[in-house]
Amino acid sequence: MTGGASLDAVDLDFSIAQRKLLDGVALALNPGERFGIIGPNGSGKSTLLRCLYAWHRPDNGSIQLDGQDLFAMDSARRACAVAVLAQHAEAGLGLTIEEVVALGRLPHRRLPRSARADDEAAIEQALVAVDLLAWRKLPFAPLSGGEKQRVLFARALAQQPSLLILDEPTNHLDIRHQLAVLDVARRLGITVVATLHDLNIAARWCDRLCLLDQGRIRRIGPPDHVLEPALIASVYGVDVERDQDPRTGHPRLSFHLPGPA
Amino acid sequence: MTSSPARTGSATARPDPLISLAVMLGIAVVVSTVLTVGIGSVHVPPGTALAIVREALSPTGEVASWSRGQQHIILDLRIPRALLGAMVGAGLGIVGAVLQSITRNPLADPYLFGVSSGAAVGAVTVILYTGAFLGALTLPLAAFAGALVSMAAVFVLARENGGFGTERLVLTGVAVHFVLMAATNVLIFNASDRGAEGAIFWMMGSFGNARWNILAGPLIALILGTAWVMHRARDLDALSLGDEGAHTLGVSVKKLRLEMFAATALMTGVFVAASGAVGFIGLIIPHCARWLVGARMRRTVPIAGLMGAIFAVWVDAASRWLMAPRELPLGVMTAAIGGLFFVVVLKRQRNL
Repeated sequence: MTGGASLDAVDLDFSIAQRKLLDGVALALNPGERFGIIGPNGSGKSTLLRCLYAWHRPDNGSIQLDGQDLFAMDSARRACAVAVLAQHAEAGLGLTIEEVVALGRLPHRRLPRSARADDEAAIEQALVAVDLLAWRKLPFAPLSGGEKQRVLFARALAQQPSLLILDEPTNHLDIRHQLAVLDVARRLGITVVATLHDLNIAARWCDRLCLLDQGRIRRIGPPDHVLEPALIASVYGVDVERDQDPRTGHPRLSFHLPGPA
Repeated sequence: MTSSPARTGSATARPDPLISLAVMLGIAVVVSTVLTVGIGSVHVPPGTALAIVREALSPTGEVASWSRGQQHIILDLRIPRALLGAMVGAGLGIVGAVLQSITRNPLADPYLFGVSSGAAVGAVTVILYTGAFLGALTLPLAAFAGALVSMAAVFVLARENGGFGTERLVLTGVAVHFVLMAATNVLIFNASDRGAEGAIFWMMGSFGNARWNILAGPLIALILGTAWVMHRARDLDALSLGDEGAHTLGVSVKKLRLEMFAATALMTGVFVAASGAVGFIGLIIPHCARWLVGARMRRTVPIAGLMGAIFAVWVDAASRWLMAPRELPLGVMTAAIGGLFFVVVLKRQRNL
């Protein structure tokens, strides 16, 4: 493994059609850190990720990956370092599972001294990691949403990145595969940024969290510090109670709509 | 040597059947050409046709067992016609495969961007009004000019933020197509009755205008276009993950789109100029190719080209033979076959 990358984002502003989606966002990710982005719908989570994988260019501010300007990097080199599992799972017209996963090797193919054997090994490893090796020759299109998500996750793994960006990685997955996917991501030992809707999963899986609200960071730090019931209650507009997970000791939240129970 | 079940799944462990399939189809293209050049209003047996070709390639000086008329028909008409058919069929198959992939739409075909209707305006003007004032090349040149104008119109009108959204491009293509078809119909309606049949025949597609001197354009378009597409084949595969997905694999999506739209539009323009808008080849052949060799463009593109060539040569031969001595318009044949084919496909497959 390549080890993790560091990522420094400073003062990010981003607007579309006069609507400010990000407002002065700053993040500094340490190599090998698991970083969670939480916040209600429309708080700017996906927009922030899109900046981090250079799909959106922020109006202001800078993003550096291992000290290099993300937007000045060669696109193939950037894709070798940063892999993304986005929310809208699609892959067109009759590719097999293995062929979809193999797309993750594309950026490596563009670099000099890329070896076919490395490609084969990376593809096989990725398929093993999501437990789909036996299905490799099957077509992608008829798979269920959760199975597609696992294939696309394997595609990101095959990229062998030093930074993995996950936008709602547990979408469509059953509980077992939610935990399995996050466990695979943890064992890679690389830097991972993920948006997560499930705050309890965020609490147990992330080293640090940042809470976004209307494009601004409300709080950033260890889960204990960010998942403060009063703060979560005000940002999400729900009543929050907090206790501890009996097995892991992580904070555990339960939610209720405000008003008389 | 024993092979464990796990290893047999590896793509490198056995020779790729793609090569042998491609060779077989390549041979089939040649055989199809030889078998079909004799077919038509004047029948020439395949043996005689072969002998004529052999004599033309390396003259023996022996007394010919065939008439000058047969020799003229084979060498000057049918062979260029079969070659044009093979090239246009191959090209349309490839263009269709690329456009279906890039638009992620299994019903995309080469005339998606209104190229055929622009060409029709040019061709109909020559057929009905100006006549062939530049000789045999007048018609293809006018048609190509028309195709270029419609392409330019579509690209200019669809442009936004320095790039092209697929949906916007397709919808603009539909709009331009209708306006230009209206113009074509006005041109036909306004002309004397006698020319109209020729114009309509052209619009339904035919390889009947093939002469040696018009083959260079389609040949160059086919070779350069295919090379360009193959060069970008992996990037096109990445685009199947969506624009953002391809971007995260290091593909510059806007540039790829622009390149592939330009390449396929130019190819289509050249083919339409030579043979009219032959429908359905670019729609059905890519599906056949994907069933045979899967959806990776490096495999789909060459196979779609070879299958398109074979299909076009045989359908053209059938169009000469079915109502001989009259010729059935090619577009009628391809539409009938293509339509029936699609009904069968829809019945059998739920997932295109």
